[in-house]
Amino acid sequence: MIWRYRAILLILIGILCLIIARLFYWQVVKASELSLLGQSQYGGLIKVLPQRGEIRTSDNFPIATNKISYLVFVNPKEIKDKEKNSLILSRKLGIDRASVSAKLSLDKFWVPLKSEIDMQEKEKISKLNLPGVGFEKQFTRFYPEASMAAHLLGFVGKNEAGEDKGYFGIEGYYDRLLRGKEEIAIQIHDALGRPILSRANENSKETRGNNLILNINRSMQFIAEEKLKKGIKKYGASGGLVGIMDPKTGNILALSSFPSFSPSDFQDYEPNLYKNPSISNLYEPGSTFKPLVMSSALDSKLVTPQTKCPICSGPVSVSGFDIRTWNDKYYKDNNMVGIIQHSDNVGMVFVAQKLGVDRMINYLSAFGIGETTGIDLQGEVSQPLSPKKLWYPVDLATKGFGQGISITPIELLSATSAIANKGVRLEPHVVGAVEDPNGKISKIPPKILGKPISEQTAKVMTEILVNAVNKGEASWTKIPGYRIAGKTGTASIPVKGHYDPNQTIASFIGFAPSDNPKFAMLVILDRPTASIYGAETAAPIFFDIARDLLLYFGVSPNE
Amino acid sequence: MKKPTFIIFITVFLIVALFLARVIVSNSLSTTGLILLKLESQLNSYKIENSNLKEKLLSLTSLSYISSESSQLGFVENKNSFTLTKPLPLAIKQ
Repeated sequence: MIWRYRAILLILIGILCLIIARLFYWQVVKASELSLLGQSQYGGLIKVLPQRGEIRTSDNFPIATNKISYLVFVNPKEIKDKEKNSLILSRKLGIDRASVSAKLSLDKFWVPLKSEIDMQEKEKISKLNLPGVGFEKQFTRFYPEASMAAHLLGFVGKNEAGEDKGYFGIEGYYDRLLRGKEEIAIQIHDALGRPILSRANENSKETRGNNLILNINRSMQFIAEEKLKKGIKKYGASGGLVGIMDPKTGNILALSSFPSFSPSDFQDYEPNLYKNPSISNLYEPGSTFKPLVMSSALDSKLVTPQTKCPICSGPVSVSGFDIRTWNDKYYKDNNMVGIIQHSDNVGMVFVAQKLGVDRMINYLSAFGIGETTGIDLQGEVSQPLSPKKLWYPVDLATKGFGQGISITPIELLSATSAIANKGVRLEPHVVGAVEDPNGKISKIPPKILGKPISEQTAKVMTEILVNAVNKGEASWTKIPGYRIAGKTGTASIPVKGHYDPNQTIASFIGFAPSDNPKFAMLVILDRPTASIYGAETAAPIFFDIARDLLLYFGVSPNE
Repeated sequence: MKKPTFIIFITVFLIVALFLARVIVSNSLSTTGLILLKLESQLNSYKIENSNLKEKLLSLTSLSYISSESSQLGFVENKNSFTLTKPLPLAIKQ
């Protein structure tokens, strides 16, 4: 008999264990899921879309923020006189009547009519007391500085699901951070649908995306845009850009380009305007490229500033191609300082040939040429350097003076900043810090990408560039009293296999003050008509902006 | 055996007291939904007002607005600036 009792006891204990295991599964393993299911039976699950984070300039001014707007919707089942109401709504909302009428005839309870209407418009429609018309609060991107830094910011559009999504620039690159995390909240209602006092749901609080604090200086951005706009108009250019960078940190202080667009009405502009030319357009840099090649030759000790150019007395022939100087003037026994000062193409052929293909590729790669800089903006492109076997003698010669090589403006600005920063190249960065919804700020530290040239070489190259500003073609427009390093550039535009003689990309790159640079700046004008030369178009814009920046930084003249 | 009158009395009293307390609390809480609704709508209207004021403030403090307003008021860009450079030495050896 005893074994029977024992068997029953064991069976009972087994059943008890099963019950405990099942309870553990419900109470512990599946607890949160079941709790949510339970809550959904006495309340409503609401998807809480976070408010998009702000984008602020370095002075903490929100250059892109949110404003409240409204979505007008209708319940067609509640609207009896559809003809009359469609006429009123089409007039008030500025939509064609046929479209409103079609929406009112749908067999649905909720049909959106127009989004992003402002408070005044909403109040006007509310006063009409139209049956079946309602409003839903939403947030729209608001740009207090209007179209300032449009290429840099990008814009917020809609994705396939109709949700907000950032495109281009910062909005595109940092979309996930700005958008924040979507939350689920539960609102408990009474029988009449009124919210009742209940345990506060921790998820029901308003959620936000992360805020971005840029390295962009609002005043510098404004100065750059205003001066560039005036310059484009004055020199009859089809467009232009200005990039300003702190060579010591890689911080992008201003980045502006025209023609541009308005981020709030981006749909009214041609899509090809959305691209930021500073990071997405490849161009032949021309003479602004010479400092990179020259500093490579100086760094590898193949030339010194006093080295005389034995081939500079006239045009030079390479593989059957005649290479001339830009003004057909030749300086016999020109040294390296003079080559940069006169922007001597023949002299640069000599330097490039001295350097050779292997060293040229190695140095240009170290300067970051042929690869993306890593700037935190959506849409950066680059053209890799040709493989060694495709470098024919004429390619080596022309690349020496910036022809036959395509780079982006940001590549050149980043590479030249290395000369300004004792040979150390830093990653260009637009965002300086990220502020999470709890107010915690995480700073983004500068990132060193390499040291293409030595400090000594950088110093020598800087002196050569200061001499180029003081005695070169652009000396007429320099700022008296300041030591500024710089180089002009007039690049031909390749069209159908040859270079267009009448259209150029005029540019000027430099940094100031040369001994302790506060900024490096690149100015590019696309196809200026008043003059095709960089020294007569881009250089005056460079110095005009530099004058204001030096005042802004409180740098006094020292010469 | 003596009847536990005291315990029975206390138990009954507790039951009645707790029942009444529950009735009073439930009664007072039943209308808080309306108050909450009012408070929420008030909070909402303040939030909207705040947002509108912020929008106005940002528009008025934008550099583009300040620049256009200042030029309308006749302010012009100062092209001349002066700086204090290092002083000359007091005595120069002849």
